[in-house]
Amino acid sequence: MKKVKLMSLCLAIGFFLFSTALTNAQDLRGITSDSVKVGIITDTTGVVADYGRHLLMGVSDYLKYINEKGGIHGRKINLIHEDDQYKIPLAIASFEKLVTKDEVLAILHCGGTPQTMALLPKIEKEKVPVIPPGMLVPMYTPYKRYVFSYGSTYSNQIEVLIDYVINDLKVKAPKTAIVYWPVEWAKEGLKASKDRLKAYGVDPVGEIELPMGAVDASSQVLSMKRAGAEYVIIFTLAPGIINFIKTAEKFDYFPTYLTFTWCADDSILKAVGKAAKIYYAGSMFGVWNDDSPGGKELREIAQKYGSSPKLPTLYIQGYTTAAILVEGLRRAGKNVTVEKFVDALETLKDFDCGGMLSPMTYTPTIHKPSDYSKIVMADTEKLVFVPVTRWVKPRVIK
Amino acid sequence: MSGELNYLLQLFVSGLSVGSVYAVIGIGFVVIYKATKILNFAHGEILMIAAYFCLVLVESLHLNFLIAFLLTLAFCAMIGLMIERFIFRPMIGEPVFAVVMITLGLSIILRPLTGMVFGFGNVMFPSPFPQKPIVFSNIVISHAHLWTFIISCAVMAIFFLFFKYSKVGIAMRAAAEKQSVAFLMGIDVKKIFSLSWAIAAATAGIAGILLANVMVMNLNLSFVAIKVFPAIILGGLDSIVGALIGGLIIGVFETLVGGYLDLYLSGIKEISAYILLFIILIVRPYGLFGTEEIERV
Amino acid sequence: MPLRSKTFIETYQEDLSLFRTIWVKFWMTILLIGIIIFPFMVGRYTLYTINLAGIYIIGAIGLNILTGYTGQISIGHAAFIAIGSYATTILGERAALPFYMIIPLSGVIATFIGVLVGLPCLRLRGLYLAMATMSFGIIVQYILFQWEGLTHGALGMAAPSIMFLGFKVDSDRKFYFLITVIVFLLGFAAKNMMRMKIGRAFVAIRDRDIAADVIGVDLTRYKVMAFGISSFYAGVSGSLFAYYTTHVNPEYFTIFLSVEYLAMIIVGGMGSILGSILGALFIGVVPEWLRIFFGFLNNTFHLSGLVFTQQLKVITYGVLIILFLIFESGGLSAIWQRIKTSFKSWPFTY
Repeated sequence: MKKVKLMSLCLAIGFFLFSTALTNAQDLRGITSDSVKVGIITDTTGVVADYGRHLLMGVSDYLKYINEKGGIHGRKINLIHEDDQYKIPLAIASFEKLVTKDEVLAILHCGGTPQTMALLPKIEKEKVPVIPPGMLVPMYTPYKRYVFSYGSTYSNQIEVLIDYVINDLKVKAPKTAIVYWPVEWAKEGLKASKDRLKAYGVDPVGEIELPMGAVDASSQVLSMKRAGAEYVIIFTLAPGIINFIKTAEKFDYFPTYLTFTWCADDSILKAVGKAAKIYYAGSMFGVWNDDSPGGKELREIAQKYGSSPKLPTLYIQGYTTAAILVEGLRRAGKNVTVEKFVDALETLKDFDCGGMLSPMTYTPTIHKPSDYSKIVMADTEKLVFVPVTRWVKPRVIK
Repeated sequence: MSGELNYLLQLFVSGLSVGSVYAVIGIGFVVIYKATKILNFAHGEILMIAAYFCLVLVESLHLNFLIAFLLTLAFCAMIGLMIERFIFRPMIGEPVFAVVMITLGLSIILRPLTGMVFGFGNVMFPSPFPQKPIVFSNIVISHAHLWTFIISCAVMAIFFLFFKYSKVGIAMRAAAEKQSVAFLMGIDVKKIFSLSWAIAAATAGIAGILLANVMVMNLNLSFVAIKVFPAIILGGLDSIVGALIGGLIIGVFETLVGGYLDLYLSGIKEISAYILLFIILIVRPYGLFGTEEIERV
Repeated sequence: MPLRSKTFIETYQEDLSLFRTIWVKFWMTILLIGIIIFPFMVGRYTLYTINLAGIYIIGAIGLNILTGYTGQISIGHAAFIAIGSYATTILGERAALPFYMIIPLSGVIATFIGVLVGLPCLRLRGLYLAMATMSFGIIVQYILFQWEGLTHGALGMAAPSIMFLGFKVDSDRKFYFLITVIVFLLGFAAKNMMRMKIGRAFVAIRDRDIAADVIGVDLTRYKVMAFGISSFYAGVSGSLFAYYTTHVNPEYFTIFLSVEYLAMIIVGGMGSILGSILGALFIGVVPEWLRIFFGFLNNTFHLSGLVFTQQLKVITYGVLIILFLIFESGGLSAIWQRIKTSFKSWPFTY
């Protein structure tokens, strides 16, 4: 009896283990005659859950829309989502599952910046095309065939903005301070801001950290005010900037805010109201109410599926990422394979998703982010962002 | 008033504001510790649930703030009772370490649960306090913070008197000290525990609602409780007055460090309290007002 | 079939051995064979999960030594794992040392810091010790973020790759064998240590430290040793973690990681090496099962991602911890012991 029990236990375990073993058919991975499987890894329950969920919403709405119009070359696009809670080991596990178990063709977004960095070796080894926001240099230099960085970098966005302030608003030597969240992309932004200001011969009057969960931003606001900053560059996410602006309001401090894509979100304006008197952002996206064909399609889709995203910028990110994927599939033609898909993406030139994304150009040797960003401004009456410029490049400064 | 002096005083006042928030959260921790010798790691989650509950009452049901406030307290008391009944009752008599681990487990469960029920995003609490701050000779303090300060002092006073002079309060302390002896003395330990948890949860409710008034609300609200540990250790884990004073001191300390040192040692503000905590633990673990338990290696 | 009713020990040698009877040796051999052929039978995703669990095992054994055996509650374990990981990446970046030197070296560095932390914490007990270790953890994370010259701050650091006898250890299978060997070595070391004087001293400290002092157990020495050994294990675990995930970032080493390790030893069984193994396997594997399970539900019922898999995973953790604490304070290893004794004493139930 005892032996039988033990034997059956062993058999059960063995069976389970065996059932998880599997095989790969590489080049047609994720592709069948009437469907294409793609994956996406976002944080939907961790520290940046709100962002991940809205990104997912944007992607799945757009793919639903495309599927309802018949798909691409007769194939419907199936989306499989994995949550990484913004943690590297979970992102790797998600990647493994999507590639080895679900066998997806491509992964639209592979977690946040740290996760994408950790996954770079596996991406090249497994030949899985990914479309991450192009945030750190190692993602596109040296050239990586399967990594398609998109959008513009934060450095680019702030450079364009600083150019605008100094050249177009004609402020020769703006007294600028920089407030940032102590994470890697924000520190890149910090460095880029300082470098650009220095290129104009301007020194920032201060720089200070504002962590995400900070209960109180009083000391940060007061130091900036004391340092006499009239322009405050902010690199944090929504809770951070809302905290700062509202605290600054308390102290009767209304600097001009200069920020980047993720803070060009209408939800922030709704939260701070009139406290953000003058607020500019350098963005890789068009605004929600943009007059472009992409903007119209976007609003139409959101309305169709009843999505009213609280974070419109992320919905736009989802829309544009999915749009790149779809364009790649479209150009790859009927007999698509993984390699043909990659080749197709490399034919994209000045592709701007109908005006909603910085124009992207990929070639077989360069997959770097766009050099263009657009400047948007807060309309404090309507509490939305409005465009100020078209797509601009940072100037060359002698 | 000179600019520098003004700056310092403003930092000081802002520090007191933040400190009152810590204080009111800390009082909740101490209440439970005094009554059950347990450090409730789930306190942050309870206060967060209270904040969201109140938000729902005020925003979706359009109730008057005061009514919502009282209802939330009642809701919290109920949560406290349920937690006590189903999770802590079976653990009476077990070592404190196990019970504290349970509160950790509870905190792990409650956070995602709150997200599932109330959503994961950022929301602003519609504050009943006027938004324009009070300005007094160039020093600014917001209404919400002032009220937090007043309320935490009031709560502290109430509990101080309660634990020192009221029959129920003394019974709670007795039950915390030695359950078996309290039982023999005729104290209904079960009822006392239920009451303790209900009161502590209600205190968490007060803290949560006040916190929601001064901060952006999201799931990270519960982590503020972790920031309060330095305050309660500094004050002494079993001293209500200590919680208030400790909270205020930590608030001021943090803000001063932030105002003067952050520019050079970026981010030192956030961990200054923990460095202080570590030092306090090594030098004087029972804090300023806690009862001294003499032990050596 | 004759039932074994007693174990007859005839020599000191037999008394000292870990595996006493033929039966135990037999099953251990089967287990060994199973472990060796395992990676060839399963898919990469499962292998990845098991490898991570193996890395957790090492850390969990360390924490168990400190908390389970010696009763020193620590919510700062993640800090030592972080130190091990970063020691590896920093040494990898600056010194061209082979992995079989870096891994132990990371452990030693972590030990050194563990001793430094253990010393001031000698007088602390219970909650106070927990707080002290917690604040240490927070401070370490801060230092990792800020000391950019050393750690590249928030950018994180890439780990070197492992070269062994000329070829690169870079596949899940190769890592599996590396991790398994280290788990075996360190596991046996721990098991033996706990049977020796040092282990008994630890347990004495846990049960009643004042009484232990009276008997003559040098509290200072053994408490510091407990911190040191525990940190060594954490350091090695962190080192392997860095090698395996190829990229470390300070974001990962939070209080929650420390709590996760505590959960492993509680669920597995405190004060037991087997407990550390079972607990780590459990906490490492169950969430991935949940992921597959909910993914499957997702796809068959097209619930479009609204099923809160990760939430439920976290909630399951919490529920498990609570259930184990209330009902089975010995954890999985106690359950295992009970199963074993019921097999052994069948058909007698007492």
